[in-house]
Amino acid sequence: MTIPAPPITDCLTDEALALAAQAGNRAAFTQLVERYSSRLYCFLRQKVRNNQDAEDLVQETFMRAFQKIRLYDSRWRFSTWLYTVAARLAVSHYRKHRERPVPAPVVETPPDPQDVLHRQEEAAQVWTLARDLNPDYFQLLWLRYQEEMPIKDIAHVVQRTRLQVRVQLHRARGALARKLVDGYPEAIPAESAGTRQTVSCG
Amino acid sequence: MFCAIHRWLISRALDDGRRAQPAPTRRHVQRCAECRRFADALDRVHRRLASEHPVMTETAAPELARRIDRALPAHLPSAPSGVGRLQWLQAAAAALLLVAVFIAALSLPEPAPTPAAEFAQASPNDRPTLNRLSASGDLLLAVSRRAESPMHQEIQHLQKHAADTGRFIVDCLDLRLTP
Repeated sequence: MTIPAPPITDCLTDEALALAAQAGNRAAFTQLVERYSSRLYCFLRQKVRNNQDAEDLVQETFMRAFQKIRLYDSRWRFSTWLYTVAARLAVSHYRKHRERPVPAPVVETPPDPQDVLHRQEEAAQVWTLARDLNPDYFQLLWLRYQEEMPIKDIAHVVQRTRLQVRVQLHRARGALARKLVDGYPEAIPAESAGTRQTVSCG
Repeated sequence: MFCAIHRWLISRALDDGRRAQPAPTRRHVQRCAECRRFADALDRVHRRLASEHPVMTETAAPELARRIDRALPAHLPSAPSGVGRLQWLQAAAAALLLVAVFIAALSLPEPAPTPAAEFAQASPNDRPTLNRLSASGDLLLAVSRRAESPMHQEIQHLQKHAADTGRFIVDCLDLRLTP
């Protein structure tokens, strides 16, 4: 007599699924792949040269997670663990492919009006604009807002201190606000700039 | 004044949902128009980042998930052999530690003979002196206790610690070996 595997439903948390996968439940891991593949793809796409590399990295991340699922510690959020694996693989990938190929010359073609309209609509999206930022900024914004990670977990994923993460998030939001918001105050008023100098020197 | 500091605090408050801006920053924002604009802009960006979701245009997401799932092995790996090896290593280390503590306890020098034993072995010439000493019974008892205590107590403590350590290690092993 065989005992049927417990049903994997959408209402299970990531951590519960990871624990089920640790117990050998393959379906639980499939569910995790479905939940995270596109999110990881968006996260990694900014760190690599092309879509193919990003997809390969996502696959490699899940392969690694599959092999090491028993090492997952349920005191951490599953997303923190998975993103940490992904970020480290991205760093290794970057080191391996440090010499980037020269991009092929772009052939000028007249723009399609529909395409132009689509791009204008897309440009209004905050995440489309975020993609034009420094990849590190994008990465932090992604973890903070899409994954809703606390600063502590973000610092763990990107291997930086909490203060560094806070400072970079501050800059990233500022850079984005500069693009999005009309009348964003670019500079600090002269009086305050002097004060800032005094404070930083003192 | 201090706009840069207040802007940093405004931004920092966004990263910690439970904590609002500090009171001095709130007061500053009410007075400084530039920082008010900054706070509004940042708040708008913050809300948009939290509410909007990027569209995954480059690749078909379900297809990517399916492809990854197909590439993964059919069964999750069994318990890594490293865990079993680690348990054996822990058991061996615990046993070694127990043996070491036991040998250390045995190799300590014998405690010095107690004053009472010396009294029994004393020659007849020494008896008067010793009799005088024994007259003050309490004093002699206290002195003899003090004299025999250092090494004796040390060994007793060592043995007690060894027993406690052994019990602790056995408890730990029991916990770890429980599936």
